Amino acid sequence: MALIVEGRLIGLVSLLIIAGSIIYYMQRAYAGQLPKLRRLAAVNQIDEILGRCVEMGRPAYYLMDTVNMDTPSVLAPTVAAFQILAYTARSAARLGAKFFVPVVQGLAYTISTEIVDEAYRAENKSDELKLEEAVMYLPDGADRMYIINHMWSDGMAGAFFIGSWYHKAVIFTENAARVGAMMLGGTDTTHNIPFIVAICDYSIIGEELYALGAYVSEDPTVSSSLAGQDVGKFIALILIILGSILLTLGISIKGLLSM
Amino acid sequence: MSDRLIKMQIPIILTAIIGLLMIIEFFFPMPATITNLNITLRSFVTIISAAALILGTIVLTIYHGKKVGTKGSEWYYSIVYILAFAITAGLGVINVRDTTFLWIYNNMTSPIGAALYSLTAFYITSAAYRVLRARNWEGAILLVSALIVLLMLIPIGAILFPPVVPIGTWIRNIPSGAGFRGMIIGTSLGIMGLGVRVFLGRQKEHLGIREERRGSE
Amino acid sequence: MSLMDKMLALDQRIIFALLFLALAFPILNPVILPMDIQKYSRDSFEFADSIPAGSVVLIEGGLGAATYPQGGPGLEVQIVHLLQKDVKLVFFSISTEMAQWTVTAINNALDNLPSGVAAENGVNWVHLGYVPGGESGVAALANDIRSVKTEDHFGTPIDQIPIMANINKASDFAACFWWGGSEGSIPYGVRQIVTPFGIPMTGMCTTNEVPNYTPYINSGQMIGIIGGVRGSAEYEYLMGMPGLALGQAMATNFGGLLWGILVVLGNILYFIARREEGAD
Repeated sequence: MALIVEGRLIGLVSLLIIAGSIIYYMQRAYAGQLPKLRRLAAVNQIDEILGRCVEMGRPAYYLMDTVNMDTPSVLAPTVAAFQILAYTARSAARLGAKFFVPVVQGLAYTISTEIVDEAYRAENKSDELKLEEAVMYLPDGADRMYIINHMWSDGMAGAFFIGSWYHKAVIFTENAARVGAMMLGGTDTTHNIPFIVAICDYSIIGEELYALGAYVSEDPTVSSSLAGQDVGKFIALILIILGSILLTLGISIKGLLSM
Repeated sequence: MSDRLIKMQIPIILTAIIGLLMIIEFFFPMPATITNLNITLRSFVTIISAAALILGTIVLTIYHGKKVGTKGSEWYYSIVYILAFAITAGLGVINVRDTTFLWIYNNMTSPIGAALYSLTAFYITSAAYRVLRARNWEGAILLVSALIVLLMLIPIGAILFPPVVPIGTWIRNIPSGAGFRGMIIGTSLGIMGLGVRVFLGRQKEHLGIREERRGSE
Repeated sequence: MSLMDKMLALDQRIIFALLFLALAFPILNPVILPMDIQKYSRDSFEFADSIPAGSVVLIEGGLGAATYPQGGPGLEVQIVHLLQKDVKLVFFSISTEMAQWTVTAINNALDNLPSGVAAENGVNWVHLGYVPGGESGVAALANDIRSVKTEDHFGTPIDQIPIMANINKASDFAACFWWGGSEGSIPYGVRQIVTPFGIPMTGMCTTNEVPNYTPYINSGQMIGIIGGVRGSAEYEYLMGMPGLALGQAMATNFGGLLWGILVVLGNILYFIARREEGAD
């Protein structure tokens, strides 16, 4: 019996190298050696949007779209969205902004409730929070009309579109733009990134969503893991260049890569 | 059991163990015990999703019930919800293949779902009119590319302007394809990083737990 | 507010009304215009056409209520295409709703099958139904079908289904057709069926997702793709079975042209307004 399932050796080696470098950089951070990381502007933009909501006395919406946590491609961005929600809710509590989080799945609803409740408690603002109005469960399908209707009636001043966004991205962002809200959008679903980037005032795309999740933890050992991810990017870059040269020379490495 | 153990440590340990089991099964041939365990764990996903659906429905029903009870704003719509839920759920519970239940699904739920999905087309048009303006060079390139690819995609486009096919195909395959490849690579690395942080228990915000800043000062 | 400003900030309801008229008229009164067949659609059709008679293929039915209007007609025509070629079909879905819609597609296809074409459940086709677990469920299915499914969608034990007699893993199939709709699941098939087992695959997705899968097509991991309603319409056209998708695709001509006209108009007005501001 083979030690490794056929066709998965390269994948295993890649996983070990990248996971290993992420852990390496996190351990270095524990020892006080922090890597130099570019500051992600989105962290300041969250506070800017919430500040605008406080000034105008109008609510901020935090929308996550698809939160079916049983689907792997949705789970990762949803977890990142929860991490960013924790930071955003705490900032909203600290600044005194009205906050609304509609959720379309029961499990995600309970997690969001916990996160928002914990955030307000951490800021000693639990008495200002009406949890069942701040976090609301809406059945998938009914959420579109409810949220659009309330965007107009509330005159929302700020909106966050974070998570795994599918076709609803353009519906909600366009409405929010027409209402006059300042928006931060972030998704890793590649075919909806163009809509988010074109319509939102600020955007975080692809892996920046996960990077923001690391940044907002405000733990330098956690954000150091981003340096480990960059090792993966350098490896990918080298392989792309090498592969292009080899293919141009007529040397195929398909067999090697499918080991 | 302490609150910290239940709320934090047990979920993190469970996440790490189950996640590692799935990863190991993908790469290494496993004995039947492990494979069967993983199959059982995967079936838990279905059960938990169903439970989550029931949980959400109960929460929503309580919310609307309270609205009707206290005659909150637009409480009459809550009565519509309660009636629709009671009838559909009741028929489904009696017999999920019942013809009336299937009639409701095929003639009400599905067309409404399709109609709501079709809203996208209207909002894309509205957004395009407002946003696709050549305010600068990058905007101009985006605008021209969008128009070329649009003409390539509509059935008559290639008949009206034949050059859009090779140009649009080039845009889609080369710069757009390269961009998407880069995003796929970046996103995959981001997911790996998230996975490592979650498995190691370094990031706990998704559990509703926020610990004060730690690490080197 | 000047007329120019009003036009630049055009109320979206006017845009919606114009688009509704542009789409409704050709749907209600189908206008068949000349159509160019896209390379991806032709490749996908020719791939299906090249499957030898008697082969068994795997089909992922991933269309739901929202995406059935786009992909459903295409899937129905493909089922007819493959059954006419005496190819045996094994369906599965990665969501409960989509498993139900796959039944709809199969039933509609069987209604449109020419007489004399064999289409017996269990002999010429089988619907395994919902496979839980997303990508990990697909991985398990690809390695050992019976570890994931013990009966089909209608409750018949798999071992009593003739078509499944010698079929238990991905390598037992000649090809894979992944009708992914908008669920973004085509990469599951690429990663769990194409790459480990070398099974050729084509698929369907919504129009806006086609660029996502261009890398897979260019690298040879997928053979063409049926993109949205136009892809379905092209499949109908190539099969000589014009239907719903063709009518809808014709309507997209008018919707798309209106979209283009509005964008160009918006830019013309923008430049005029900018020049007037500059002159002031």
